[in-house]
Amino acid sequence: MAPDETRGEITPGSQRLLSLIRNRSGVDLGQCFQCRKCSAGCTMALEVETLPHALVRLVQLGQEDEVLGSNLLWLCVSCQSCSSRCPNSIDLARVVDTLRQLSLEAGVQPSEPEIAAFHEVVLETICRHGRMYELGMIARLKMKTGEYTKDAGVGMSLFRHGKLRLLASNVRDREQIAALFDRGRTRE
Amino acid sequence: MSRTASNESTPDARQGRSDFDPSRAWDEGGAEDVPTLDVSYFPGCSGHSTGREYEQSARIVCAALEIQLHEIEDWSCCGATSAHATDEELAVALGARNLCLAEAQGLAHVVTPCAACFSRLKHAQAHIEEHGSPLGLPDVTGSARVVHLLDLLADPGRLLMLERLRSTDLGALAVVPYYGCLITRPPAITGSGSPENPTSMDLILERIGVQVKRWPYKTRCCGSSLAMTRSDLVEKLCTTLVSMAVRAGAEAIVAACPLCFVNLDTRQRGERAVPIFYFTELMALSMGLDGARKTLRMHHVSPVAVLESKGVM
Repeated sequence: MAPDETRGEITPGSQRLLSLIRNRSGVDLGQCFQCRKCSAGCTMALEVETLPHALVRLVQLGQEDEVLGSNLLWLCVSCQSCSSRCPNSIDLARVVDTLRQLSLEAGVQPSEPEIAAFHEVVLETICRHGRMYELGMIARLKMKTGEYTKDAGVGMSLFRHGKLRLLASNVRDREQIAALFDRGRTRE
Repeated sequence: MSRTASNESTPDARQGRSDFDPSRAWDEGGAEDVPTLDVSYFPGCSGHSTGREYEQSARIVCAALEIQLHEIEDWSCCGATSAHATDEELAVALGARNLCLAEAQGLAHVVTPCAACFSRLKHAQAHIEEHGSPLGLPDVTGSARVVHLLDLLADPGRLLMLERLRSTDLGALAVVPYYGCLITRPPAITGSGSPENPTSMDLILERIGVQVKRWPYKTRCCGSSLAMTRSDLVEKLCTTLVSMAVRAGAEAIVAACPLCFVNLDTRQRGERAVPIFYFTELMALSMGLDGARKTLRMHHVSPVAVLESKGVM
């Protein structure tokens, strides 16, 4: 993060993203006074281009493109440290979820396409079976990413120890599961 | 006081107190007086796959401690990280579906061994309390309180029973307790009174004759769902965790989440491989339960050598 990214004035035009987040997540990022506790405890602090406190500042400044394109949205592991430690009780992990969803809706290319693909195949698997089916999910992920040999060692070890079932365990009421997924999709 | 009394909930109950209140579940007495407990059980998807050791050891430990697990009929995936990462409404609905099924069982508590499932069910419960059931699901009140297995087993009554049933000397095996993220965070959802320094697993481990080493990474993240995509980052995080455990003098790390376990077990890249245990595996070993050794052969990093060095195997 370059220091000047966090400098600037909040102008009326910059309020759009702030209020969008407030409406969608119920969290008011206007409460942030930049103490940086979120960044100090962030699991991904060494990996992200924009630290959490800087992301909040960019939201306050209305820098939508930078916010929605940030790799923090995809590298965030939802460890909930920021949300637990914020002195102003800002649920930042929730906001990152909301921003990720907004970036998907806006058609922004994910900075970590493999992670986006992972979430997609996990949800496809749950939609189909009602439960996780690891082998099916892994096969779909590999088809999507083309990374066929990645992680073969760990995969073999899990398989050898009987930890990857050959057959899926299906929920009986899959109609209900499908309905829950459809309702989620109609909003989009 | 009857155990179902812990069914009451107030807004305060979600702000720093677990939903399993042992003082309500059991009036102080001897280990013989600890009542049998019937709970709804949400095993989570990993129970029959990547977390088999946990599921099997949890079941035998609960049976030994007179906790009846009533598996939720036709339970489904909680949605884990991927649902809340990309679709908030879907995430709530997937968690809530299971709470609706649990409420139909009519028991006071829903117990799950997985930290991620625990977190998603708790979020769904908070949503139901505030807004009611999501559309398309039966109307429920969220009366069945969601509890992580660790909290259930660390209550004073069960600890007394554990001490009484302890039969195997674990040879002062040196361990560090690893709680990870979602058992305690965020406290507004989990009800954890001590999110930075939880102690429930410490209490259990102290009762079974292992040395509990202090370390600063009790609640540091393992990288969770990035394991399959950014495994490079998860390897870094897990290797850091393991090397800190070694520096603290531990011979093994004890986990309470199937996702943490798999990451630590398969993604550590230090000079020396450190075995990982589920806390329930060590409990089962210390009580000498049938099947306690079976799960030890499913680990990626074999714990057999360290247990042999303690005379346990």
